[in-house]
Amino acid sequence: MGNALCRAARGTCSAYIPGYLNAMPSAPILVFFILAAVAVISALMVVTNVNPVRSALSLVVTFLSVALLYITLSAHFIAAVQIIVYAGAIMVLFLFVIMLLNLGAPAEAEPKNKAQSRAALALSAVFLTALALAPLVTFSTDAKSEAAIKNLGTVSTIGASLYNPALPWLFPFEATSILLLVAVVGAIVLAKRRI
Amino acid sequence: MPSIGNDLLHGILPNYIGSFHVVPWVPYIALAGILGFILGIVPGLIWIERVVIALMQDRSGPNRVGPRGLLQTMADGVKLFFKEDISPRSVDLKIYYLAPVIAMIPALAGGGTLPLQALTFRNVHSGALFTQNLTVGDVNIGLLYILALSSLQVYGVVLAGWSSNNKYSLLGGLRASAQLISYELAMGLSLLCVVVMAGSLNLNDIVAAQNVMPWPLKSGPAELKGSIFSWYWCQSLFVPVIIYTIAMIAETNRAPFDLPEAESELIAGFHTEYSSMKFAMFFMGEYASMLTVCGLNAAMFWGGPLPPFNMVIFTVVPGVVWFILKVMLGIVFYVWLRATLPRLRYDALMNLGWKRLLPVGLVWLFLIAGFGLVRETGAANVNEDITVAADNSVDNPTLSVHYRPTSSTGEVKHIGRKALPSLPLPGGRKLNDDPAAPAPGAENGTPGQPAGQPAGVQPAPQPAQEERHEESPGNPGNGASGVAPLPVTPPPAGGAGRPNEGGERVRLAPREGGERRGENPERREER
Repeated sequence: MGNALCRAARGTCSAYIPGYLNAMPSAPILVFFILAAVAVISALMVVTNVNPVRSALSLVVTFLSVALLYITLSAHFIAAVQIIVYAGAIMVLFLFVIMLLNLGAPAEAEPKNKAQSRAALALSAVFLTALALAPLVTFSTDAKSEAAIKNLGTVSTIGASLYNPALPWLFPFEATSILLLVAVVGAIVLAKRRI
Repeated sequence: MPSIGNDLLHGILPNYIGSFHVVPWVPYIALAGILGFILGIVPGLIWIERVVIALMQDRSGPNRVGPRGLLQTMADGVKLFFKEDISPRSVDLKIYYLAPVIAMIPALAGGGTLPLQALTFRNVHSGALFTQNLTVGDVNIGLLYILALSSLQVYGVVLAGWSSNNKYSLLGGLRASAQLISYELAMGLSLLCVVVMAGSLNLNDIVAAQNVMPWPLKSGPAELKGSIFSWYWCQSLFVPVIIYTIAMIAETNRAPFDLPEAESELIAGFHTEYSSMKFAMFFMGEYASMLTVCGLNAAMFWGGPLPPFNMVIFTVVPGVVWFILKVMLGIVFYVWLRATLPRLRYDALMNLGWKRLLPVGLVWLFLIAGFGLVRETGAANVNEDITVAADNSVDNPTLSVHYRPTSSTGEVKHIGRKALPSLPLPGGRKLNDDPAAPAPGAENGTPGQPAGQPAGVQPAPQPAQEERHEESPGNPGNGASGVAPLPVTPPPAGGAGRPNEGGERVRLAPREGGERRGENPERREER
C-alpha cells in the first residue's frame, strides 16, 4: 500500500498495483476501478441493448475506457491508436452499416437460434476458464527502473523494438502489412466488375 | 542573481512566488487558459465571421447592438438561451440529448496538447534557468491525441443525424461521417510529412525542430533562426500545408465542404431538429474544433509560438500571443473561403479527397523522406562520416542512417535527442539500463540531466507528462521556443567519454546539425 501511495504522490500512475486488495483506495487504484467498471458495464450494454446503434455506442465507450486504462499503464501510443483505429474508423464504418440496415423502425428482436446460443455458452465457458487460469501464468518480472517503466509505452520505445531486427517482432509486423494489402486488393476485386 | 523585476522584463519567471511553487501548476494554468480562451472567444469568432463576410460582400454587417455590432453575438446567445427547447416526438431521446455534448467535448479537449509557449523559469535558490512548456499535457503522442479526438468528434454529428429520426438529418450525418473518413487520410499524410521531418509526435518538439536555421543555410544572420522560412510550411515544400488546410476545412464541416448542413438540399442537415441551447452547443462545438485544427496548423506548419523573425521587436511579444495570432489568421482564412467559394458537389468532394489529395500526399511523403536524406547530408559538416548500417549487436540494435557532425573543436556532437529507452531483450539482457541516467557529453556540452535534481524543482505531478522540463544548472535557455535540451542517448554499457564511438543511434528524422539548436544561447537573455 505504501508503494502505491508513494506512486500516487509522485504522480507516476503505473498500473502495476502490488497487492491491491489490501490497499487503501489510492488514486491509481480508484482510477483503475472506475475505468474497469465503466468498461465492463458498457461491454454488457453492447450485448444487452436491443437497439444496434446503442450497442455500437456502448462499444465506443468500452474502447474509450480501455484506452484510458492504457494511459494509466503509461502506454500512451497504444491508447491513442486504440481510439484512432477502433473508436474512430471502425466505429464510423460500423455505424454506417447499422444505419443503412436500420433506417427508421427500431430493430425487432429476431427469434433466437438455439444452436447459436448453445455454442455461445460453451465458448464463454472456455473463455472464463482461461481467464480464471490467467493468474497462474507467470510472466518474467524483471525489476525495471521507474523511468524504464514510464518509457515502456512511448512511441520511440515501440518503434525501436518493433523495427529492431534483433527482436522477433519485425517479421510479424511486415506480414501484417501484406495481409492488409491483400485485404485491400480483395475488396477492389470484389467491388469492381471489370478491372 | 538578477532581480526578479529584471527577469520579468526578459520574460523569465521565478519558480517560487513566496512559498508557492509555480512550476507544477503550469499545466493547470494552460488548461484554464485554453478552456477559457476557446469558450470565451467563440462569440468573438462569430463576430469576426460576420464582419469579415460583410466586408467581402460589401454590406454593413452587424452594427446595431453595441459598438460596431460587438454585442450582437451576445444578444443572439441570449435569444438562443431563452428559446423553447423542442424535442420532437419520435426521436431517440437519450442519444438526441447526448449528441450536442459529444459534438462539443472532443473539440474542447483537443486543445490539450497544443504548444502554447515554452516558459522560462529561474530557480530562485540556485539561479539556474530551466524551461517548462505551457501545455496541458506535454505527452509524446500529442499529435495522435488531437487526431484521435477529431475522429471522435464526428460522432456528435452522426448521432444527431440518426437520433433525430428525420431523413434530412440522417443524410447530413452520413455525409459527415463519409467526409471525415475520406479527409482524415489526406490529413494524416500531410501531418506525417512534418512528423518525418521533425522526428517526433510531441508538438512541443515539433515546434522546437522549427527553431533552426532555414534549410539550405548553414549559417547566416541570427534573425533567420527559427524564422518564417524555417517553419514547416516552407521546409516541407508547400504541398503538405495546402493538403492539411483543405483537409482541416473538410474535417470541421465548414464551407465549401459544409455538405452535412447544406441548407439548399438538406434543410439544415444534422441539426434540423435541434433548437435552443442544444443547437447552440453544435455551434460552439464547430467553432471550438475550428480553433483546435487551426492551432494544430499553427503548431505543425507555422512555427507555433515562434515569432516570424528572430528580432527583438518580435521576440518581446510572448509566444502565446504569436500562437493566438496564427490561430486567428487561420480563422480569417476560414471565413475568407466561406465568402469566396461555392459549396462542392458531393462527388466532387469525394474525388478531391480520394483522387487528388490522397495520392499527392502519398507521393509527397516519399519525397519528403528522400529529401530528408539530402538535407541531412547537406547540413552536416565535411568531416562527418555517413554510415548506413544495420547494426545487429544487441547492445544497440537499431537500423539508422547515422552521421556524426563534428564541431569546430573536433569533438563529436550528438544529434539524437531522445534517450533510448530500456528494452527487454531475449536472454534477460537489457540495453541502456536507465534512460534517465546522466549522459556524458550531452548536447550543447551540458552535463546532461543530473541525477539529483535541484531541490524544490520537482516536476509537475502529471502522470502523462515526460519529465523534461528540467534543465541542468548553468545552461541558459535554448532559443526562443526554449525546449530544454534533452539528455542525449546514453552510451552503451561501458561507454565512457565518447559514447557514440562505434555505436548506432536511433535517428528518426533529418535535422540540421545538432549544433544549430544551441547556436544562440544568449537569445533568451535578450528577451
